[in-house]
Amino acid sequence: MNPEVPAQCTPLRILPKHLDFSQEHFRIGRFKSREDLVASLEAFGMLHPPLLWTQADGTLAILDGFERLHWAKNRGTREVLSLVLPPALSGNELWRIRVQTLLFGLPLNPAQKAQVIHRLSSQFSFEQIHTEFLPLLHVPGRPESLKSWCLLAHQDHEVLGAAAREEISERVALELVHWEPEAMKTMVRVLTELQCSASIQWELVERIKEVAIREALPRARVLENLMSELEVTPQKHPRRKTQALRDILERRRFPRLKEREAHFETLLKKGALPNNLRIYPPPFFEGRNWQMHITFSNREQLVELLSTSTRFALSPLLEEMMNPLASKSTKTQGRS
Amino acid sequence: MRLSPPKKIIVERNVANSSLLEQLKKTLPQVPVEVLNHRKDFPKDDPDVLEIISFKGRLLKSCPGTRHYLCCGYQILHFGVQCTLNCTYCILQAYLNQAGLRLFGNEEEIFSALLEELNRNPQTLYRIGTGEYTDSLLLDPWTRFSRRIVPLFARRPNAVLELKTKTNFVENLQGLDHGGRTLVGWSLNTRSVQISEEPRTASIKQRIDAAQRVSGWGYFLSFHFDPLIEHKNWRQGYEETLDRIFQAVDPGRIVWISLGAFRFMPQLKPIVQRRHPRTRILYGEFIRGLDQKMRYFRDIRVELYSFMWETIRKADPQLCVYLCMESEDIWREALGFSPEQRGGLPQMLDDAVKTKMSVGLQCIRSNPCQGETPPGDGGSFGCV
Ligand code: SF4
Repeated sequence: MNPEVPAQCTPLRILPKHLDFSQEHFRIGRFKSREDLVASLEAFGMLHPPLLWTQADGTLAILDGFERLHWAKNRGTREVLSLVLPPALSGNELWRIRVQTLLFGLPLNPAQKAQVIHRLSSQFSFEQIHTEFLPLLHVPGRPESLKSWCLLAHQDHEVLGAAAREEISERVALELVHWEPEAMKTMVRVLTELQCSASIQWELVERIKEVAIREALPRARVLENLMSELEVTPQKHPRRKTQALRDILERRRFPRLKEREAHFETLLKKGALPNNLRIYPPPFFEGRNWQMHITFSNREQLVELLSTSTRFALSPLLEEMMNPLASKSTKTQGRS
Repeated sequence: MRLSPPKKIIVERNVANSSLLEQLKKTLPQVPVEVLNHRKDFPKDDPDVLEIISFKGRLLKSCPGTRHYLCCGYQILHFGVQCTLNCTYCILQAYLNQAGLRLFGNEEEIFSALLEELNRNPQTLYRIGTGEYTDSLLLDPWTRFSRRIVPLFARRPNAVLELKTKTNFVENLQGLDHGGRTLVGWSLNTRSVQISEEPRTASIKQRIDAAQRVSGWGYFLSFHFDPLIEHKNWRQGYEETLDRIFQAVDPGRIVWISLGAFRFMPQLKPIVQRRHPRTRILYGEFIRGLDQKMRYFRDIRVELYSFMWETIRKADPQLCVYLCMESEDIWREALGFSPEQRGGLPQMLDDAVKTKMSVGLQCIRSNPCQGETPPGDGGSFGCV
């Protein structure tokens, strides 16, 4: 970038009504309300001059300061002190300047990043975007992510707004743009309602995607099933509702594991063990390390619990707990 | 099955006079050869280039066992890396710093070190394979490597060689003096898995036809159902493949059949998703195993293994079947016994070699597991 560019700016007093507000080429919408900005403008006026560019026909296009200038125009402000760039600048130079102007405001939200990357992609090569701009925007530069950002930029107000307000996380937004539009919209609404953390959002999205692939169903169908299952649960509070959805999804994604867990719980109940004697299978029933926890407060109680546990250990329930398939099946055993 | 030749061969100067390169110049006369001084000058990641370098590392690597999952004591002879068959589940995809095919040109050195090792331990029975970092026969039509290595084992009293492949490139094996000490092994699956996950490999029929041919030339056989994949109609699919095997070859020629349910390092998942977006194999019921790899939930593994075991037993109750990298409890639940009851898994396989191939009868030691970690996990994929 030419370090002299800022020196090319000329400070000028501009009448807002003379500006071409329809020229939105450099506009990067925030997709969320800017009450804070308006309050600041009302209290202190315009502390940073907008940046304009003189187009070939002599009219002035806005490069930075759309919202400030709109505010000034609506307020009937007569003159605004602005910095004006000369016409001789190329599209690439203008975009380099525009990206710099964005770095000095609030951190960019995902909707803004998407618009910037999308606009840059029509101006610069992938290599240039990757090495020059993505680090500035704090965007990891994988080749496939560029496509996702551009797809996000094409979404409507609802999706971009949810991303901008962080109702859906950046990672989730970039995944959802690859979903069928109907499923994407439903998922955005569900996540907005659930108000869950970014990591839980990702878990839900990933699970739904995997269930859809596993069952060869469109994601919209999977979502439809899940929503009707969720409707019958009495949970209304977002956190409880989120948990209910996670449980439903877990059962659907890991049916055999969940079946085994449920079977284990049933057998445990059948065994009627006291509360201070608990049996734990190894994680995912993998391996041989089962555990028994005994909590006691005196010798008599320990003796009593040990004899209960011995009775349980000798009962067929434990065998079935540990080897339900062997207990169930009538298969021929191997040679030994 | 067809294979496109490389566009170029690049050779490290110190192996520019190797017999491997001489052979390649004869079988691929149209392919240009460039000699470079150092490996670091080689172009990166060009799948159209075949690289010949000199190998400096450990010659024989052990199949890894862990405390939780039993290994077979197999030894891997490192003769090259990478593969162009592009199976969706292949572990070699995770090794992208070496994306191109690479062969070791210092074969003579490798062979003499191998013989030295075998001579040093005459009472140890070695089961040696070449198909862990690549497919054993993929490049054989050009390298004719099999014609040099198979006779090397023909008179060894304490070693057998296993060539594992998903190709049907067996032409070079015909007429060799193998001395009954080479097994040719095929990794097999259902037809539908072959079509969707291994589309560039030989079809199941081609592989079994090839097995039938080599069996006719006196070779022993092995089959590896690894990875076993739970998919729609898997029972029917695996039964069909097993039926085909037993119709085509005499079970008496099969030294062993291994079974290994699909498992993968978690880091492989995003790589497979990116490289093979249409595959569904990642979306089974996988849990994190005790070795941190993703494995099917145990009940599914038991079901897969029991089904295979019972189907194989119907054809030949004496056939040696083993589980690749599985825990003792899964062995017991699926097969009804644990390798410990038979002296351990390496011993079980040595016994199969002794009984079927009559090799190593004087050997009293099996190769111990040494717990290293080659890219697959011992007898696993890439290649089988
Ligand atoms: S699994 Fe074997 S045949 Fe398939 S790509 Fe890997 S090494 Fe090649």
